[in-house]
Amino acid sequence: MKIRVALLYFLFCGLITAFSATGQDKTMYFMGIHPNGNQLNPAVQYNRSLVILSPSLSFSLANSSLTFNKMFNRGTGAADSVLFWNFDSMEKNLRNTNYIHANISNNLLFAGKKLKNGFYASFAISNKNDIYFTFPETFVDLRHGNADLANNKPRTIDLNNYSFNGIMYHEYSFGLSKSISEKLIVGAHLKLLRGNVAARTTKFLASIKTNDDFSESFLATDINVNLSAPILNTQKGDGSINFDIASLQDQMLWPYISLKNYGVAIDLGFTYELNEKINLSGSVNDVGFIRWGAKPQQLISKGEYLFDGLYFSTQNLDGFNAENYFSSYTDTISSIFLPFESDNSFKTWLFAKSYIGATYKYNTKITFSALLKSTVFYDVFLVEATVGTTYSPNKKWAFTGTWSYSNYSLYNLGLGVLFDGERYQIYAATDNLNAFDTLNSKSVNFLFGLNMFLFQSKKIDYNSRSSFLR
Amino acid sequence: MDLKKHIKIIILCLILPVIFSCVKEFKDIPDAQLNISPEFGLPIAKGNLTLSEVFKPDEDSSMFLYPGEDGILHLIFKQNIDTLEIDELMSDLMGDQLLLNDSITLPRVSNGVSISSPETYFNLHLDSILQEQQVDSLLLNSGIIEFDFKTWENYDSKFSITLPNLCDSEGENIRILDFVPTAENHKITFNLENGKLKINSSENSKGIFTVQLGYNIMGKSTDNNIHDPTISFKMFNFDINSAYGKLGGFSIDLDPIYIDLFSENPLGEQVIELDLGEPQINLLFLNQFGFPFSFEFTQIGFIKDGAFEEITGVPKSILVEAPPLGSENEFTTTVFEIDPNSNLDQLASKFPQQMVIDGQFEINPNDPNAYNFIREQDIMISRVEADIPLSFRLTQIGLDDTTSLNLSSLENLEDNLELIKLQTKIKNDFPFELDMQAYFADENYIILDSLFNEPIHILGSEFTEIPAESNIWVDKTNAQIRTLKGCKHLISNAYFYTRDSNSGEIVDFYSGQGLEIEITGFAKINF
Repeated sequence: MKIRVALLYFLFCGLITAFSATGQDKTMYFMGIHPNGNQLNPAVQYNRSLVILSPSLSFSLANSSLTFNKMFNRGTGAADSVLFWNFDSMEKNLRNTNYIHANISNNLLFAGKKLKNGFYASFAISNKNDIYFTFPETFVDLRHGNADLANNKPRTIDLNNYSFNGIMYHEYSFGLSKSISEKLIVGAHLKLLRGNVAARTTKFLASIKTNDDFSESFLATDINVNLSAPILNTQKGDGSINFDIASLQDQMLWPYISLKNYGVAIDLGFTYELNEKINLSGSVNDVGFIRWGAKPQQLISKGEYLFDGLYFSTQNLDGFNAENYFSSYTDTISSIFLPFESDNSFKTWLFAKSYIGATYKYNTKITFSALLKSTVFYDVFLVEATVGTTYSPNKKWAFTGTWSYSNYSLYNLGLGVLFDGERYQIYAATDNLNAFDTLNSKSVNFLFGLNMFLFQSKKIDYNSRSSFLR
Repeated sequence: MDLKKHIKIIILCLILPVIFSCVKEFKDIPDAQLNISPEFGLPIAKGNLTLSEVFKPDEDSSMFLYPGEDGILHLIFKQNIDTLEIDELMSDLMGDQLLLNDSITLPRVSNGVSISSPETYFNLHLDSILQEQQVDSLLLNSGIIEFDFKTWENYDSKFSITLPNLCDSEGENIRILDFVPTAENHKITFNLENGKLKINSSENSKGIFTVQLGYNIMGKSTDNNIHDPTISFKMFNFDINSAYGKLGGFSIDLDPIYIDLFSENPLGEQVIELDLGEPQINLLFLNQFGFPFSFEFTQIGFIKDGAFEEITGVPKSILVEAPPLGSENEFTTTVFEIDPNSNLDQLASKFPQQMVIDGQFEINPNDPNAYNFIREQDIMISRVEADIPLSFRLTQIGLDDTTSLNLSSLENLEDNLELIKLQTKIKNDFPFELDMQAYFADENYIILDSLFNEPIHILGSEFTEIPAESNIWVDKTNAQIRTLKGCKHLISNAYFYTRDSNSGEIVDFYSGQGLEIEITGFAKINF
């Protein structure tokens, strides 16, 4: 009874937060969790027709270069309670391009129907959110300012190549897979996408260059940020732009519907049983785009300005008014650099991913697996690799352990556990078990989930097909 | 199923260590100290100063620079010294006085006896200097002529009078016809506004005012002791617009003219030497007066602390010509050059309090019989015009100044501002040099710090078109900034001098010379 209460409470929390993250996908890929397996590879067929309501709770955050302990340190002595930013350490650990990536998604509903002639049809509704922020290695150089006083030399303030990208959308996936032969299954998802909110930085170039004798500073910007979010308000009169997120919430809510934010994507996948022991699988997911036409806003700042100080001469000494002079300066700079709005629609590509993996069924209880994953971000091509073992002591339990090269780190141990009941599945997984050492981890991800089978037909013996599918 | 029993504990065991191990660390992130000290350098200001721009001529400019043929700048200075009006010079002539006070007496007739004449000429005599100066015509702004017929008591009389010397504003002679005096009406008054008086037209008529009189008089009294029939004439309340005639030769003492210059020496007690190269300084007299005159200087010089020092090189006597008759509104210009070797520059460099000019006018010095005119609007302007080549030697001028400077706002910056530096680059084309230091002082004028580590020296250019470059740094550390927050005054000392002035070298200032200043600011800020 107590367990039921706990499960109901968990279900309630899960329905509220209702997330599942892809940060754990490398461990999940071979665990046979519904409906994630089909999501990750459209060729995956379940051994029955079913309808799943799958609330879950997850969190996933990763950055390419830094851990808490690489970003901060404690002072010493009397200052041991003070936390300091550790820019020297950050400088040593930053890459040319660095990212912070959060991906949150949840599967609201999945329905699968086993058809004749080896077909398996599916329909799923899910919600996906990607936030991706990149920043250059030169970020930490900002702490030096634009001058090296000891050597009386200038430094360039480099604000190039920052970007903020984020999309929030709902996905309606129509899947169909077919057993081509006893060994090969291919499948595809056609996904209709309904966008809620987007931010896309297409260009971010900004710098302040000071010449060798500090007599001139050259300011330049070339920035373009596309938004589909009603957060910019242009003030009448001075034309300045204010940010106001009050009306953003409506657009973020599930009931928000706009036919102007639409998109389409496809997933393609296969599974191939090489022999009784070895299975191969691969998929390419999220190849598609969303056209954002609802309340599109663009922030554009493009200008150049050469600042060489206030100029005074015999002509303007009389009646010189410093306040007016500075005012005209700031007006000029404002007119050049302050962003202005445009309302052109724009397009964002999804972050396409590919998986290719293999499993080796050592015996009925132990399966070894390997997976290579690649992701195409806007300016980063990320490759990750995982090897793992799944132990299934019986039909209800499965345990998976993994080791991954991920996030430019070899220090990623993963763990997953699945309880497969008659009417529900309970599972937990992480690709980064060492995230328990949060302060030394570059990524944190956890997934706890519950699948409730609202309907399921009679099971077919899963042992006759891919061993890692349940 | 054991696991089922313990699943809640398992989940909590997985979550809680993660949560609690890092909660404190993450909680501190918003308060994490940046612990950085960025350094900034920015251009603050650029300036370009040229003398020719400062003294650019315009229509009303009394002082400007222009380049001479040799490229050397010339300071042109034009200044009126004084404007002399005619009534200051000839107040006796133009003053209010009784011009005519005379009478005509006719023969006495007994009761029932009459005499008459259709036209008899009588000559009256004018008063005042008009006779002496031989003024032959006067244009009047105003004036009164009054006839008083003293016949009404003992005679029946009737008079007609014409005044050929006096015209009204229409140019007609003043005239009365068939006037019968009575007890109530025996005076006639004419307003002479805009009238004209013609007198002294010949040597024979000098001082004569002619009355053309027609009369008819019959005695009506049996008393033998009655008065003769008499007509009295008065002219008075004259405001003369202009006068024409021969003023003759005479002298007028001028009241001394004092022109205020420097109320105090802007350089304090310093004694400087200004040695101008070859200045051209001219005295000009722009004269509208209708008579030539000479001016004999009895005094021209400066007064410094009560002591008079004469300007040398000024002519002792000058002759100022008059515009010719018929050119009354024009000015004659008479120029007198002050000797370039005059001591004027040396006296002026002492910053005297006053300039004083005194002397005596002599009217018509060369021809006492010259025909002159005087008009009330005529003026004479005395003026000085100087063309001073900027070739000079100037010994050290020290400028001491104390200004209020409240730097208490530094208190807001002292925790963060670790270092501030100002770099001033100067390219100086001018052949003058500057030594300077400034001190920050508290409210009791106690020195807190100096602006520069040691007094700066701005070099003067030694060669034309090759500027002397100076690079001046001001550095203030955090400790100094903390001290400067108590600053209330800035005491500055600066010394200017032309290059090699002590060796007597006269330097030239050229039109292309200027002063370029470039100020760059640096700061190191702790966050």
